[in-house]
Amino acid sequence: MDTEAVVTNIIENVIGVRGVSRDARFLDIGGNSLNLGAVLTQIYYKTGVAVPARMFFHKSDSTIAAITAKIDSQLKESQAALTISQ
Amino acid sequence: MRQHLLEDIRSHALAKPDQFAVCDSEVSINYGALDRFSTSLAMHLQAVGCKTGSRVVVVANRRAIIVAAILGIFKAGCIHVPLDPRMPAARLQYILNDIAPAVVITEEDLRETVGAYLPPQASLLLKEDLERILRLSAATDYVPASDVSLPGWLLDVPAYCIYTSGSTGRPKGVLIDHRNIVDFFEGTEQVYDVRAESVCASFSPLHFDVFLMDMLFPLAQGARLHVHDDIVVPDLLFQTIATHDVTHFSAWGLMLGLIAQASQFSTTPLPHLQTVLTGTDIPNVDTVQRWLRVGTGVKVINAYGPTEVTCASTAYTIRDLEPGRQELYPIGSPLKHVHTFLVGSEGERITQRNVPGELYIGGTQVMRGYWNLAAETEAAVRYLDGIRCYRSGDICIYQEDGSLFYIGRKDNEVNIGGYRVHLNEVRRVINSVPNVHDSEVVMVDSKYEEKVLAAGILLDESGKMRALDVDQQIIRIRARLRDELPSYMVPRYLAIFDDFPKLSSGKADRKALTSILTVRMTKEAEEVITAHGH
Repeated sequence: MDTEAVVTNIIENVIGVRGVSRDARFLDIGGNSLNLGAVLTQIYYKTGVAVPARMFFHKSDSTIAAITAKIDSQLKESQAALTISQ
Repeated sequence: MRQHLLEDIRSHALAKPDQFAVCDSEVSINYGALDRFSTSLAMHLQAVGCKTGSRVVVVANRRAIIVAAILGIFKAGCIHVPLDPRMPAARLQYILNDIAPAVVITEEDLRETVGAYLPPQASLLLKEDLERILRLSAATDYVPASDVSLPGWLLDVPAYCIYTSGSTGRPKGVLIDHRNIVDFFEGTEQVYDVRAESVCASFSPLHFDVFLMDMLFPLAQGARLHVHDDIVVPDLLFQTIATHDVTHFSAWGLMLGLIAQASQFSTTPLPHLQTVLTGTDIPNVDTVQRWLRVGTGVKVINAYGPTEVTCASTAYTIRDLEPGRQELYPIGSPLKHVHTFLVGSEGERITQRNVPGELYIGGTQVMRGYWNLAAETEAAVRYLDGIRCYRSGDICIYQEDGSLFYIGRKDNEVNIGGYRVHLNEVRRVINSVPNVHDSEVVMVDSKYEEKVLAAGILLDESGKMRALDVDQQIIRIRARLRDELPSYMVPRYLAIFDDFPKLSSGKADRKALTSILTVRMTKEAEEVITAHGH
């Protein structure tokens, strides 16, 4: 499964909504301080990336697409770091 | 008797102009600057056409300068109307139209949205403008600014108007006078022991009436106030309390639980903490017990009260460590200027223990009324023993010790994330979608301790006959809900029914519906997980 599907799936399951689009912002679809913890934990568990909590409250960076991009860029960086250290 | 809030601020400014009053990550404002800034802002408001009784809407995020601006609005004799910056455009438009403000204070990020619905007579004031006024006020040593043109510190004029969810399906504005505030503060100081040497922290949104207890009361007491202008996540909230040696703060029930999830909560002691104020929803006993253990002598105040009776009407002080405690905490006894009555279904007065009745809350904290809704005001206010009372719609009992204990609601109102939500308002929107015959909205618990809404929907005959695609219809309803209601009012789960389970009276059986919706919601979430193949 690609990162976007993983993120969408986690957010949909934790919040309890379906059909969330990639442009949907976390706070607009029922995300809040209470369910954010579970979203962060599950994203970390599934992707290994700790997304900063602040992103989920940001005006434009809190969409599924933006969060996915953040995770992908982190993953790329850590792979690059791994290549160098080898 | 206490004096006007603005008089309190003036005396602190004269006595200790250089002591910091309110700060956030951007600015620190001392009492001298606070007094001068609020006077300058009041004169500015007058210059752009504000008069006594004009409304000044504030649509902004929590910031120290916005807290200071509230005092400027008061000094100009205007009515402060704080609105949620996240509310959808349609609701913002409705409220701006209803309240007809002279000025709207907002921030650059919201300028476009607010500008689009700005009534023709209103002018816009940005946070940047406030900052300019503040810089001028703080530039020189403190002397009270000349304010002869201002209306003076009037008690019998409205101070603020808070919009709350209405039974008619539309939000309604609650008007609170300065006299209500003075009497509320006099009652508050007996239970919430903020003093001049206290350090307070504020985490509440500006559009909850908690701002009164959370932000303005500490300033009236001459204390130091840290406004948390960052996001609401456990570690950051806890850090604010720990690093500033906070002695007093307030957080509604679930928020208190959230802060207790901070990674350092059990390892970092809070030796300065004295009093934690909670309320709005029923606090979790375990959470309260955990907070009592963070420092010696810490107490938790469970405060209760509808917006209509000025922020809080009753309070219960919790000091005892009771690790095994199961039973929920009571809401306690009335504040100094509050009278409470329990009234039975036949209108009889209840004085015995353990007999449920509707709570009527009377005294000088009771609101002036709802903005432009005379009939609703009349329906909400009753005189008992010659005392003007607000019918709360909350069912309570007297416990054995005489404390009031909250049982539940009389009507379709629920509390979600600290917001009062009248389910009729959600129903009105669902029922306005074409082909919807009727709906029932209920509250269910999510796995993450949130209260969320779920709705059951009936289609009308033409909708049924055309065999509308159920998924499409649900998408349409959800889109309408998102356009008109704030996200906490949009049901998480929507389901179309052929018919609702019925009571013998023929009315929908809401209890049965709640359990059906809870089961279906959980089951569908599981199906989604299975479908994705984990």
